Formats: sequence, structure tokens, C-alpha cells
Amino acid sequence: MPATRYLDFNVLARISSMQLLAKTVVEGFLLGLHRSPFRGFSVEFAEYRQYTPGDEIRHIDWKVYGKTDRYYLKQFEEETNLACTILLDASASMTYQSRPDGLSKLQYASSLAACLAYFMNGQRDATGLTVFDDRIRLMLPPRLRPSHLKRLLSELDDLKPGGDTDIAAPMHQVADTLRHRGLIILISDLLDDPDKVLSALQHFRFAGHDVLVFHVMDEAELGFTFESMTEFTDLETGERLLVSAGGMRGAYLEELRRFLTACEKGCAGIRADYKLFNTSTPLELALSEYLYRRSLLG
Amino acid sequence: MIRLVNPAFAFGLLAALLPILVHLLLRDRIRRVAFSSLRFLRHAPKHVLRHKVVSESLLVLLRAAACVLAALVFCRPVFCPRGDPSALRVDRATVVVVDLSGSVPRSADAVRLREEVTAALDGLGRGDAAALMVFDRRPTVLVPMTTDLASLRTALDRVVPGHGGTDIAGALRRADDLLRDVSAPTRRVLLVTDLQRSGWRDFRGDWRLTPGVELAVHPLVPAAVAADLAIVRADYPRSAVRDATARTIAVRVANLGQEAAPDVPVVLTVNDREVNRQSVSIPPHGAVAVRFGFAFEQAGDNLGTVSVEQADLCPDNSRWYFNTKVIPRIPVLLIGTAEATPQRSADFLLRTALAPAPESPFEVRGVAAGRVSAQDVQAASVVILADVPALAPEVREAIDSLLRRGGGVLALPGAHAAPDSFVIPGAEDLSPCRLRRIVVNAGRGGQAREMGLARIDYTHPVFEAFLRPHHGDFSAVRYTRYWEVTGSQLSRVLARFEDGRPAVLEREVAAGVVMAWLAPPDPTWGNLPGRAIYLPLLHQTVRYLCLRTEPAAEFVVGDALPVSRDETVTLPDGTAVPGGNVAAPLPGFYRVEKPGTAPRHLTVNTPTAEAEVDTVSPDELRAALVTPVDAGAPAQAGTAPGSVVDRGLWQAVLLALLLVLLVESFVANRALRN
Repeated sequence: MPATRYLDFNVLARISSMQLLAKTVVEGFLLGLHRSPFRGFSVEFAEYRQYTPGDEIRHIDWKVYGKTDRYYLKQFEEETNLACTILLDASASMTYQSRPDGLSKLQYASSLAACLAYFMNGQRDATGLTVFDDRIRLMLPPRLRPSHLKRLLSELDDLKPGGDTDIAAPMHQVADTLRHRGLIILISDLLDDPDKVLSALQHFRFAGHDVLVFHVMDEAELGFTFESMTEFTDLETGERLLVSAGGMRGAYLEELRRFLTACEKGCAGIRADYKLFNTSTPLELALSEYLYRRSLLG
Repeated sequence: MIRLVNPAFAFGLLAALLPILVHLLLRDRIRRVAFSSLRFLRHAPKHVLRHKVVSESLLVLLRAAACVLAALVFCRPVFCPRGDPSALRVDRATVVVVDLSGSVPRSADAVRLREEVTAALDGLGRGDAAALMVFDRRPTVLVPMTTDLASLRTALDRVVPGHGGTDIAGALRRADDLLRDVSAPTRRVLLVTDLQRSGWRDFRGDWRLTPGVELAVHPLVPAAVAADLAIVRADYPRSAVRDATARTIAVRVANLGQEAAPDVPVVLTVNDREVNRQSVSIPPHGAVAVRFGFAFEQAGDNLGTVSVEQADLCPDNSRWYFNTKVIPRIPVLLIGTAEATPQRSADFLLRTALAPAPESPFEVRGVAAGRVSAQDVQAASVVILADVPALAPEVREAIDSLLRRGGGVLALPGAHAAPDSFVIPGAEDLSPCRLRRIVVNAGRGGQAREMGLARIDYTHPVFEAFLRPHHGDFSAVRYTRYWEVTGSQLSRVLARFEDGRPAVLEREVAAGVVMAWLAPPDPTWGNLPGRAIYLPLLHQTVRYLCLRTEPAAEFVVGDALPVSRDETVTLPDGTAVPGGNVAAPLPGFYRVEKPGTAPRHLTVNTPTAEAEVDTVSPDELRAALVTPVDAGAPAQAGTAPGSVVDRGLWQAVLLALLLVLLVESFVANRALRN
């Protein structure tokens, strides 16, 4: 992975505009790529191709000509070869945040979705967004227009948490509506029945899509950093449970380990990429993952 | 009644509230957390919560208990029985120490001794606390420290002169211990003794009385008597073989009186029968030796006494008790190279010499080396290895056991022994030497040159009998060959060949003895078997080797007797006591019986040191023991003035505190892990 400079999350958390945040992250990521010795491709020219006799002159980018004395044509939406759909879980469980000064899972996931959308748009990939909890709350089909990106980022800005979690049903619904093959990026905490989730992901795979799962969890969920007597309240069901946190950390972590293993192995079984993120993982890593996946698709 | 020596520390009991307060203030407050999902918590073990509540409660209780016990430790609780001086203020604390050793009757009989002690107690009164202690070799507290002085007078009935030795320093040290718990303006030890120097001689000067403790001495002055006779030394055979030989019983009788003692009858009694009587005259402060000869015929224990039949103040030291164990026949195991012993072989010559007639004191049993068993060795007192090249491991172990119980081994390596082997084959740790090579003294013309013996150690019991003129001639003994040895540094050389090489070696192994003749009694090695000295030499050697198998049977008054719990001991006064921890209280014969075994006897005498008349002065005692008190020295800590502290209860509280802290550590550790 090329060496990049990651943005401080304390800084990110203060950026209220998704557009600004995404622009900052992506440009920082690209800057890192420029400085990296690992130049596998030159993304900044991904939207151009060299002029050949017969092409329409009105599409020549004269700025590029001024810089390079060569004729390049801008590529338009029709010439892109990937449609990406981001599936964002906005259920109540995603609102959990362990640190008051940190990001909730939903904020992190939204930021992640924004950065991916911005970046994919820059790569001339059509980007769509579906927000769901136990049903689809928002569905923007993949498009490659500046206004489409602006609307997408605006929706992410105004995103409100939803209710209970049911990942499978909305995903099946989305899978049925997509006409063209593309890349599906699921951003969720996956706190649902793993078998149902995998079944929904497999639906996408059967339809020929590539699937990338970003499993987002909070640091406290992963490490269970509680010590004393604690009464836990479920954010979705409201159920309460009083436990001696220090005494049963071992049992919790064991259960969590089984869950994560099931998710990872399940995704591997259906040939979907799986990445576990906690809310302090740099967003640039998601962009790198996307780029890697993108490069495999050609 | 329980009293607190330091009641001011009772406020420390309030510290028990501290753990409760800390628990209330710092206990776990329930934290409320909105969590993404409880799916991973539903399988949590329920008992963890219960265990936490229980362990926290237990820890609070333990810590509160520890605070209470710590406060009590500082308060120093004591039991105060009636008459206990801690209930009153005392001005003076005294330990009366009375000498009951065997020498005291010279100065005072029981009545007079009680009078002397009563006179010492008469000096005590209201405001005094006292303890009564008696001693001989060991001190015994008859009455612990008390203000009830009448109890001391009542205990005087037990003040009776005894028969044991004297240890003045040990008694005073114990008295000092009794006074250590007392804090009175005046603390003293009142010593009633005949000041016998032999009871003070062993003091090494390595301790002194506690500063502030006085030493007062009430001497028992010996009565002026015309003659005071005592047996101060005795020598007798501890064991013997039954034969017609008269054994010598010798005693040394001393006259400790001011006048000569003429015609003093000294009587030897054996097995309750007077067998000899002599009359001796002993000058004042002098001593004479009296010797008796007696041939012991009765097998087993022969209980004897030598008594000076003249009345004096200490009859105990005028009598000496002894026990000579007579072995009817010495069992000898002869391990040879062949069962069929041709004449003129070493086996044959040994067997013939040891048992020339049915009346021989030796019971010889011959076994070939290849057929000897461990049981054969266990049944013998002496084992003779006649040119044995090898021994089975179990036979070696049996020989080791024989030596540990005091038996003997005579090794006679010959032609079958191998160079670099040990005289007891395979047993380096038992052998007096290692065989190197056979030395053949070659003379002119290739004929063997004969070698004689030189440098015989006539101080050794084996050769001692041959020291006197016409009692054996070793000069005619000649050898044509013998073993040269190495590794004999741990052995004693009893005789050498003329060329200086060892001829007879002895090594003490455990309680037994191993001897080696480095030329066997074989005509092909030398002419010893044909000389007249051969038979007595062999008999002396075997007797010497066997007479160690008997355990010690003579003791002095006060010694712990070797009797086991399943044995019964009958004292000289006829009292039967169970075995185990028995200290000899009286001089005389003690009969030890155990069902299924023959009874055995132990003899106990009065320590001969009790006959010594030299005394030590009170000033010498004070100079050695009394520590001058420094002005301004800190008061004895931990006690109220004029009170006696019972450390027992305090120590119990301290122990309880340590136990509580231990349990608390354990519970806290478990809670932390959970």
C-alpha cells in the first residue's frame, strides 16, 4: 500500500461538511500517492484519453494542451466502466460511540461513504448510495454527475439514525433493482444474523457484482474496555443488562471473536472482500482498499 | 478476667470502621452505558456478579476484623486469675531457685532444705510476687510468679534433694526468663545451693542476667563430717564372652571428709549375690583403687554393684551400678572359597583354630562365597572373609548393616583376590585398603626370602594381651608372600612387615570395625598357623571384632533413656512407667520390657561430678552474671508498672491477626483475578 499521511481524527471530527471532509481526505490521499514511490497508475489523468484523428474536437481539454502540448479528450460518464453502490447501515446500533470526543459508528461510516463517493467520482466511476436500517430509507442510483455527487454528500450530511437492524432485507431489495454489474460496498456493523447477511451478499455475487464489506465497530466494542459494574442498554431494543464488566470480559471477547470469525469466513466463502474497521481506522485505508479492488476489475 | 495492659489503644478499635467507610465511598457505582448490542453479553456467566458481591462483603469483614485485632494487639489483653500480681501493684518480684542435685544431701537433707527455703521465703511479704523453681541438670518451675505466697509454701513438699547433676547457670537463666515479664522496682533471683563448682564449670560467659535483676545467694553449708566416701570412677567389662576368664571390676573410692577412713568395706555384688569383699583404708581427701576379679558365667545381663558399706550423707555416690552382658558364644560366619575344605587350607586352619573344642566361645559356621546369603550375615557378630574374590550385592549390604550395628569383619585376602580390588570385594567404603600386588620376597637362588613382623602396636586391644613377657612371641612368625596395598589413609596400621609395608590394618566403619590381615593364615603364605601365637591372636581378634553389637546401657541420673513407646520401664523403686520420653530419676537398675522380647536392663548412676567438693563463691557468680543498671535506661516496654503480663493471650491475638491478613490476601487476590 502506498505510504500516505493520515488525517488526524480529531481534525476530521471537526469538519462538519461531508463535501469538505471528503475533499480533504481524498486530496490528502492523492497527495500521498504522488509522493509514494509506488506509482502503479496515475489517477489524476484517469478521466482523459489521448486524441486520435476522428475524435470530436469540442471534447479536447485545452488546459491540458497548454500544459503538455498534447491533445487529450475528457472521458464522459458513458465511457466509465464501473458502477459503485454504497450500502450504508444507519440503524440505531450504528449510533454508538465510546468516546464523547470521538466519532460514532454512523458518523464514521458516513465519512467513509463520503470519501469513497468523492474518490470514486474522481475516478469517473458512477456512484450510488443506499441508506437502510430495517428497510431502505434512501436510494440514489449510481450516477456520474457533479450534481449527483453533491446531492449524495448532502444526504450524508443530513443523515439521521434509524431504528432496528435488518441488513438482509434491504440488500435483497437493492440487488433486485440493480441492472448492471458493478461494485457493492457495504458499510455496516453487521449486528444481525450472519447467515442472513451472507445470504444477501451472495445475492449480489450471484448477480455478478463484486462485493466489498467494511465492517465498522467501535474500539470499546472490540476491546470491551469496561471494568466496573455496568448496566448496558441496547440502543435498538432498549433491553437492559447489569453485569460485572471486569469479570465477564473474557466471555464477551470470546463471543465477539466467534462473530468476527463467522463474518470473515463467511465473506471469504462467497468471495467478498472483508475489512474490519474500528472508528479510529484512517479513512485513507478504505480508499486504498477501493483502489486495489478497482485495479483488479481493470 | 481479661484486662488491657494498654487501655489507651482501645480507641484503635474505631479503626474497624475504616474499611467499611472506604468500601462505601469507593465501591463500584453502577455505570450506565447505551451499547450497540447485548448479543455478546447474554452468554456471560451469571455467577460472576454474585461472586463479586460475596467477595467484596467478605473483604470488608476481614479488613474490619484485622483492624480490631491490631488494636487489641496494642492493647495487650491479659488473663488475670485470682492472686495474679497484675491485679495489684508489686514492689518486689523474686524467683526462689533451689538446688536439688545429688550433692545437696551433703549439706542438707530434705527437712533442712525446706527450712532453708522457708527462711528465704520469710523475707517476702505484702507487695511481693514470687516464683519457686528447683533444679539439678534441668530447671523445673514448681510455682509460677504469683502474689499468693502461701502457694509457694505449700509447694515446699516437692522440694526434696535428688540424685542428678548440677547446672547452676541453666537454672539462673530460666529464672531470668521468669522475671523478664515482670516490671517491679526490685527484681531478684534468690539462689539456694551448695555452690558446687562442678555445676558452674560449664558456664561459658555468653549471657548475663537482665539489667536490674539482682542475685542473692543463700548457701547450703556442708555439714562437717568425719568421712564422706564416694566412688568417683569405675571400670568394668561392658560385655564379655562366657569363658573361665576372670574379668576385672575396678573402682576408685575417694574420701571427701576431714578424717581418714580405715577399714572401709567395699563389696562386689553380682546378680544379687555378694561375690567379693575387700577392706580398704582411705586417707582424708585421698582415694584408693579397689579391684575385683570375677568370672561371669551367666549368659545375658549380669547386674552388679560395687558399694562402700559405710554410712554417710550421700549414699547414692557410694554405690556403683553396672551391667556386664555375657555372650555365651560369639557367632562367627566364615565365608570361604570352597565348602569342602581340604586340610591345610586357610578355611580349615581358621575353623580349627576358632573351634578347637566344644567349649570354644565361638560358634563358627562356614559357607562358600557363592552360597552365602544376607541372612547368614545377619545372624553373625563377626564375618571372616577367607580369600573371597567376590560378594553378591545383598551380602555386601548385609555386611554394611553388621558394621552399623557394631559388628566386625576380618578380611584375609589370598591368592584368589585380584589386584586393584578391595579387601571386602566391591565395597570401597567399607574396606581399609585396596590390594595392589602380591609381594614375593625373592632371596638368593630364586628361593623365597621370609619376612617377619615389626612395629606391632601393642596399645591396641588385640595385641595388648601379648605385651607382657612370655605372653606371645611374634618374632618367630615368617611370611613368604603378602599383599601390598594402597588407599589405606583412613586405616590404622596395627602391625607392619619388616620392610615397612602394612601387615595388619584396621578401619572403623560406622559402629563396627574391619580388620585386614594382608597375608592369610595359609602355610603357602607364611608359618603363622603353625606358631603357638596363632590361636590366641585369632581369638583376641575375633573377640575384639564382636564386642560392639550391644547398645549403650549405662547412664547417669537425668539422662533420657532409650526406651520406645511400646516398652514399659520399671524404675529402681518398683514404679512402672510407659516408655517414650523417660528421664532417669533415680540411680539403680531399670528393667525395660516389651511383649514378645526378652527384657533388657539399663544402669543409672549418680554423676561422679556430684562427689566433688570444690565450691564457687557467690561473688564469682554475681561478677559473672549481674549486669549493672544504667541510669536513665528506658523502662521495660509493653507492660504497666508493677504488673505481670500474660503473653499467652496477646500471642493468640497476634496469631489471629496474621491469619486474618493471610485470608484477606488470598480473597483479594482471587477477587482481582476474577
